[in-house]
Amino acid sequence: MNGSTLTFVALCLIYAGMAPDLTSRIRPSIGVRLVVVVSVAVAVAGLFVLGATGFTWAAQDSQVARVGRWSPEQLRAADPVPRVEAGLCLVLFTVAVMSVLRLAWLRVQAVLAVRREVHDCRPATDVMLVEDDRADAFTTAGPRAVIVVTTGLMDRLSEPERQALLAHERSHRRHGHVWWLVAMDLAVAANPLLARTGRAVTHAVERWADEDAAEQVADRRLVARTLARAALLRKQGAAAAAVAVVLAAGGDVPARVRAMLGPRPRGSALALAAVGLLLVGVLVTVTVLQVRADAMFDAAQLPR
Amino acid sequence: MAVLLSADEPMTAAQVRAAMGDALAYTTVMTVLSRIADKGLAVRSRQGRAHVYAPIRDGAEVTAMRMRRLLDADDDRAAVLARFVGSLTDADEAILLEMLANPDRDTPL
Repeated sequence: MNGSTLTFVALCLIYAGMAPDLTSRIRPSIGVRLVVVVSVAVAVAGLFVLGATGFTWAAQDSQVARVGRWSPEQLRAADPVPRVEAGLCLVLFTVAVMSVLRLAWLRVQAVLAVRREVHDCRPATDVMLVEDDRADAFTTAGPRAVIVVTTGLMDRLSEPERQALLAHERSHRRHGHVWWLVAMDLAVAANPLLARTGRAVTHAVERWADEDAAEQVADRRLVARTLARAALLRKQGAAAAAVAVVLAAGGDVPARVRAMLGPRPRGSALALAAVGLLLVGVLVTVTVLQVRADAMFDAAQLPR
Repeated sequence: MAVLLSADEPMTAAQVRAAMGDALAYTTVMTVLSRIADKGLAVRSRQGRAHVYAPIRDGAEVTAMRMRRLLDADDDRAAVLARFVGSLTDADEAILLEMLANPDRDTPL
């Protein structure tokens, strides 16, 4: 069991180290989906390995063994995980599960709270214009997601810029971008090694919507200019209102502008293959661990 | 809420119920009114033995108020919104100003 566990830990570390860079090399629309799915898989697999290692140790307790009808002595012989490590696995497993549950609860609460606010306003269309001097725009979580734009932003943009802004937000809504972000948040909660990947995904989600907007308005430089102007307006508004600006959401704006000034990126097939390979590696390792653990428990099973 | 908004003066629950055509039970109207008051959309005050309710804002202002609350969203709520642009550091601001004024192509941004 130990060899495969080590392989798994190594794969996790390699993935956590490489994924942020790989994400930026893959076309955003594919990159976000792929990296979020793999990250969730890595996080779930991590929980499984921690839980299984901890459980194998706990199963050697005579009380637990009696319930499960297996021989604790045989398990101990088959699985020589040191007590301290196994205990640590159980603690980590508990902490990770608790933090995932806590975050999931918070996110569900937030989605419902936002939906309530929006619902109470009974928006007639999918775009809500809010009378406010601060420049801001965002899309809520679907289904029935709405796009909220302040007059502070709308009034200061030219007509083509408004089109670019709305095209960006419509992409967020059409592809349910908020859900991808929430899924990635949960993966990070389960495995903090993925924190950097999480930030890369946030950025890639914005890039995805930027690329969609550029396609829609057929003008990359228009999108670049809209991004730059909106970001500057938002900063001025926040400074004027002396509002504490929370969260580094929205990605790195200068990098987004720069990307829009360049040609449409082709996306690296190599990076795509690398992420796919890591996924296969993780799945194979976890399957091996699972099969071995099953076999071990079967062998230790007491006759009825 | 619409009934309260259309009335010129504060109304009791019985008056609201009458205005809605007596279709709802008195207790239902009471519950809804106290919820509206709890949400800060109406003020409740005592008049004789009954509570009277008056709207504190018109519909458009309520919308603006609620949406402003979203603009001021804390980290938890902000995490379930896809924002157009994030916050800028001072360095980012300088870079963007530079890009707008002086893009590396022939035509200005």
